[in-house]
Amino acid sequence: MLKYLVKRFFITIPTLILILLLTFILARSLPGDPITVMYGELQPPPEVREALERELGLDKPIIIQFLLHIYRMMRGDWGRSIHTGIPTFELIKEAFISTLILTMTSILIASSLGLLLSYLSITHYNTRADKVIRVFSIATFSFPVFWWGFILILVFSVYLRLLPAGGKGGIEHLVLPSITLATVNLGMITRVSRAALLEVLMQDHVILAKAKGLDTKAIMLKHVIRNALITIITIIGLRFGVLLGGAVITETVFAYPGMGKVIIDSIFSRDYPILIGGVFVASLAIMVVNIIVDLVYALLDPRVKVGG
Amino acid sequence: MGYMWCRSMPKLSKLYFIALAVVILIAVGVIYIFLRPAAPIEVVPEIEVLRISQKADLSVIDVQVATDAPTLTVFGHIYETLFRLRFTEENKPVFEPYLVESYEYVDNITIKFKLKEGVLFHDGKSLTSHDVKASFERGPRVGGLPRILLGPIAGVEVIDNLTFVIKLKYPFAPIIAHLAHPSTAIIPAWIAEVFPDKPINSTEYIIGTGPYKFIEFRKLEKTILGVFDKYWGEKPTVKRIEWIPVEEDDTRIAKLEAGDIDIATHVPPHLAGLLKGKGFNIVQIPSTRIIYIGINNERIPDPRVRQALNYAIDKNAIVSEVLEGAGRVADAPIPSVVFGYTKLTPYEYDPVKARKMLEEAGWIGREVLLIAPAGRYLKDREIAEAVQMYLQAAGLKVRIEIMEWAAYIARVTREKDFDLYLLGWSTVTLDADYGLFSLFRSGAPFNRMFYVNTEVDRLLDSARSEVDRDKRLSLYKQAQELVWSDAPWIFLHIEDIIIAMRPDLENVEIQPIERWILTYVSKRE
Repeated sequence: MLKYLVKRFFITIPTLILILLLTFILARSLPGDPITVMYGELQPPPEVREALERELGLDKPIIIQFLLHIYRMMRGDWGRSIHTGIPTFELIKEAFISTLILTMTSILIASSLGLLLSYLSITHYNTRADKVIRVFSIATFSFPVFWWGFILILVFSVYLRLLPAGGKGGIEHLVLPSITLATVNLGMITRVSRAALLEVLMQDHVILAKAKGLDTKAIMLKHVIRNALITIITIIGLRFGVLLGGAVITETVFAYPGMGKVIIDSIFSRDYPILIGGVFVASLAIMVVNIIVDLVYALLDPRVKVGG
Repeated sequence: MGYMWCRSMPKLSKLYFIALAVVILIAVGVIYIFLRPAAPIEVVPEIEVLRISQKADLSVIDVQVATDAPTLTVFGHIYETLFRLRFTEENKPVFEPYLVESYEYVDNITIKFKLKEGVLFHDGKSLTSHDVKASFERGPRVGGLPRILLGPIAGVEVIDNLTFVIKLKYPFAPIIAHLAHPSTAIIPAWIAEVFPDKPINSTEYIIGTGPYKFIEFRKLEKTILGVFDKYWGEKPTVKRIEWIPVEEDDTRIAKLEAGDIDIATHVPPHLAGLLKGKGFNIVQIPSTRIIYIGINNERIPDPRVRQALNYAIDKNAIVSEVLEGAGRVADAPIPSVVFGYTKLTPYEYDPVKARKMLEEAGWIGREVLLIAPAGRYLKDREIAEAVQMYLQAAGLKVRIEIMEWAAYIARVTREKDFDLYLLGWSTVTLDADYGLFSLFRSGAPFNRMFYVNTEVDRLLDSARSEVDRDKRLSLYKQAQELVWSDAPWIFLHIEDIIIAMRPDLENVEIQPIERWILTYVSKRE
């Protein structure tokens, strides 16, 4: 187990470096640089620009800059935002925590409700309840996020005045964005879990268990849910990972300073240290979630051998 | 139906739902408690806090580097200048001494200033002539705006702690206007020494003499300013200002409607009427920003063609349809509030005449490249597309390239591969020199049209050193008339500023240079 973890960890390192290299090259191949953005309409004369490039280290060959950046990051120096001077690490940490809160809340709501609904849906298979749930889940995951977010703002902030219309602050600021993200993921999780449960229910071993006259509760817990969970955990894990990289649209609609907004902002302002730091943390988060999902597989399915 | 048998599976009781709800609530609470940022911001009574949402967050933290209006507006509350801009009842700009007690011209290139006594920086040190000297020496080294604004200054000579002399390189009439712009604000000398030629790199160096001191900057979340107790001037009525950047227009307006914020800037024109109907106070005034299409004079050297481009475009339609009324058609190269403005006749929309002129010059069917930014100015992309359509109708082939701002500005300033480009220019000093010299003087840094007219050069050169107001006005009149008929631009429009606020707010000072001063805002009972 431990050996497996260590091995997985070491595999992530080259992947991360590759991702960083790609980000670095892509960011640099964009026209414009931080100095251009900083001066806007009032571009500086060439000698000032050169001095600033030297100051920011932008004058060295790109590969040298990349290696230097990696070297500094490994030593714990993530640099500072070129425009605002905020230490990259602090900024990304703050944004990541914001995103983590939002992601965990919405995935928690979406997955628990999704499981419940999918279970209801199969125990009431083909009844009105099932149909309502099916339509509901299709509808929710086809909602355009920005539209749904604005509807919630209109109803709960503008008309009812119960909750703030976006921004970051107390727990009340979290309600609408979490519901927005939860709704969109809820539909997907319900659909996938329902299909997974149904598929297991039709497998021979379940039917055999039923034919043997086993207690339905035991069948459900031991055979059906346990087997279906592999698929369900996969989809939840995937969604969780994606959201950890930032939910740009939701964050924009709710003016919520999470990873998505910070990374996008750093692309537009060509703030390279922030961009690199943000992509690094987002990729790392996705990888960690994947490792956790793999470990959960092993817990659920004895055939999956960790480290095997 | 094979699946039907799953209905016989155990059903969930109501208890599950209740239990689930409780578990979710507890879990959310736990997530929140463990992950919420430490050190909650101190709570201030509601009435003392003013919350304002601009479209953009602080772009930089160095006042001398900042070029954008949202950032300079925030810094305008922290830093102060030697003079300050005020408006008379007739909406004419005047420049009052601010940090300066008195001043006198020794000769036409030497001005002697005396600073106010007892002005303190936020770090407790007194303001002295050394700070002025250090600020004016550092500014042009680090910032684009100070480079223009302080460019005519040859040097600052310190006489004593409160007295100093500014030596100009040449007689320069609008110098006082330049000393009122926030980019010429005075920073402490020690900061200029720590960062002599690079932007400051930490918010702890945001120190000025203004009514507010900097408290906290949370990127994309909020910037907090708190009142400075030892402020030399009249005591501010607002104790704390929170600047909450909200990029998305609809969210910004919803926040105002929901009561989360007191003031929303950059209100999209179609929502202004709606907000007014709901009882909010809407202020709509022309800004000092002109939006234009620069014409590459090297590629289109024939003034008839450039005039034809002006005739080809229905500026009124752009203002009323694309901008939804949030602007006015330009009737001079500079806005009307600027000193030196001369009202000229806009090129009327005449597609037939435009086509005929292009035909005579042999330009029908020629391909031109129009480049434009997306998201920098109000409806910039749509304006560029409208211009493309009008020019096509007049008989040109217009290739259009729309780019995100950073890529765009790099292209405009460093490559010369374009025929037409869309940009804006705000005459932030409210003096014609700023709006004309850097743009239309041949070889000037922002003359990206490569426009050359030696007569215009002569007029602009003599106008900036002329001290007699009437003579200056007449020189600018001639210069603008020449520029207007040479048409190095397609003159489009002046953008409007639209701001919405709670109906009970008073004394919100809104200046056409896209600055709002909130220091003395009060709430009506």
